[in-house]
Amino acid sequence: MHSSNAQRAYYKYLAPTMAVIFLLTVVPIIVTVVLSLTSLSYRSANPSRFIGIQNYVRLFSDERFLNSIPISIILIVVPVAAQLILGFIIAVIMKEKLPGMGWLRLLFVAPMVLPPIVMGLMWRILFTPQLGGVNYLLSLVGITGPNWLSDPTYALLAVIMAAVWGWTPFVGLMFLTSMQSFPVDIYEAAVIDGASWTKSVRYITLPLLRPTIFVVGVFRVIEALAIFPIIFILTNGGPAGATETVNFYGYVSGFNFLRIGYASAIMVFFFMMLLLITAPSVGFLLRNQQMER
Amino acid sequence: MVQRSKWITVLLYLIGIGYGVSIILPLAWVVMLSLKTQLDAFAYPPLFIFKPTFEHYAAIFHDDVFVLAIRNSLIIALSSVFLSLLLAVPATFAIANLTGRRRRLPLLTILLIRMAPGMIYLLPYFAIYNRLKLLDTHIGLIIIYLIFNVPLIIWMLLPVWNSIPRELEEAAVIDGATLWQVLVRVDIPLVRIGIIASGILAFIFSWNEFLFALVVTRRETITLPVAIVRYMAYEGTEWGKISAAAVFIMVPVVIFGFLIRRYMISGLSAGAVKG
Repeated sequence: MHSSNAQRAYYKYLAPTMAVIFLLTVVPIIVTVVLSLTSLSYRSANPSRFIGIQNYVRLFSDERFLNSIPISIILIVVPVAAQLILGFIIAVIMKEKLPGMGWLRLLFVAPMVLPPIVMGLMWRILFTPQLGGVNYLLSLVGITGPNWLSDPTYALLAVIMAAVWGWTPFVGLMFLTSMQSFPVDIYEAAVIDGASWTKSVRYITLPLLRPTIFVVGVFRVIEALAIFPIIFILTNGGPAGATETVNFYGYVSGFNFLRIGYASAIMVFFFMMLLLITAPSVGFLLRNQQMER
Repeated sequence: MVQRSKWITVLLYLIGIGYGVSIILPLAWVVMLSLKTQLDAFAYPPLFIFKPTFEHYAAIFHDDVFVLAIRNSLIIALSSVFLSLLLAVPATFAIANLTGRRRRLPLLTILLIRMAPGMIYLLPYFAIYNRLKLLDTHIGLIIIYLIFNVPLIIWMLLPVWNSIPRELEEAAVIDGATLWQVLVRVDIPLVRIGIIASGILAFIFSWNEFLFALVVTRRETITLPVAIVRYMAYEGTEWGKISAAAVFIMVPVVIFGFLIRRYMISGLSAGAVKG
């Protein structure tokens, strides 16, 4: 059954699927690279022509583009760090199986499946003065809330808060699932040695969780890099570009300004950023448990 | 288990409850807003007890664009799930039976595609569809969603498929069954719950998808997430209607999410975390 010939018999079940997926992903990526070397614009009457790397050269004197790079980095680092820390705390709490807290795990499902556009809309409502509850809650503790979405710093903070709300449950659930597979006898040995609860979290749970933290972190970073619907509806990249990420600017260049060639160059840059970030983790992905049978 | 002090227990309860409230409150706020009159919506301090009205729900169901969007969302999501299963189920069957490099290579390819953000395909699909006259068609969006759904289903199904005892398949082969018969008569009945769960997860993804729907749909094939954005743009002050539409979009996916919560981990983490 496991001879080479027998294995080959399975190819015809795999090949059509791989062919379709390959066609649908590799062709568009090649098209993007080709477009990025042209002057294609749906707004200009000039025919599209090959202009080499001019679009890329122009990128680095485009202040709006240069401004979007640090925004992308902030919107990766801050929310993902917050999600990992908060997710860890929540997972530790749920692992304790406190009586009467089982409902918390059920609640996690809602943010995980919520349409991102609805999530963004929800926070848009919450941050709108009068209508939303954020400033009302702040006023209860004596703070006069800012005008969230029209102040550059607070708008960025608003996007961060929405991202933390939306993806901490995913992180927490991944951590919890991993923690449940930890061997019980290590904790029992800790009890015999007289370790305190905080020490057991610090010196047993955290080190054992490290590989999972890494993998989940990579997943989150990739998705955080591609954050779009929340920004689209919450701030639309504003005010004054304060929440405009690289991919958001790529979208605006392509679909608002209709400069397809230039926008393609931005997307290629975005893709390179992605590869740069994920390359170190490929070895880890190869060690995935599903890779062997 | 390691003993906690009383203080730590109290602290854990406080953080846990506080976190739970912070998840519920924003959702509850939108649900309440969808049931408030325009006057109640802007009352300050906010009203927590009020006479609910269903006028906003009635209004969205009388809106032709919204009704069309419900229809489009259903057509696109269901067709994409169906086609994705058609492609993903035989592929998972093959991968589950392959070993060594023959297994790792397709799996790694699928994993990388699963992880790549859709953003990188956005412009080329727009340009290609513009050329092929596929903009604003159902099939256009259905094809794009295959990119995300097929890898999602394969990764979610594979652990389920691996749990089938090999003896069952081998016994069937000894009895003279072809591979096709093993797939259809032995394996699919055994993994059917997994197939349903992965199909539901793919449905949730397609139903929620915004970016491509925004770019490749126009008037005829507008989907719900895009329709709600149009509400924002044209009726920016009608928060009741906007919230009612938001609640309507999220209810089915939240229900589905509860149903398949056990399976979601393997689908969303692509097997990276032991489930």
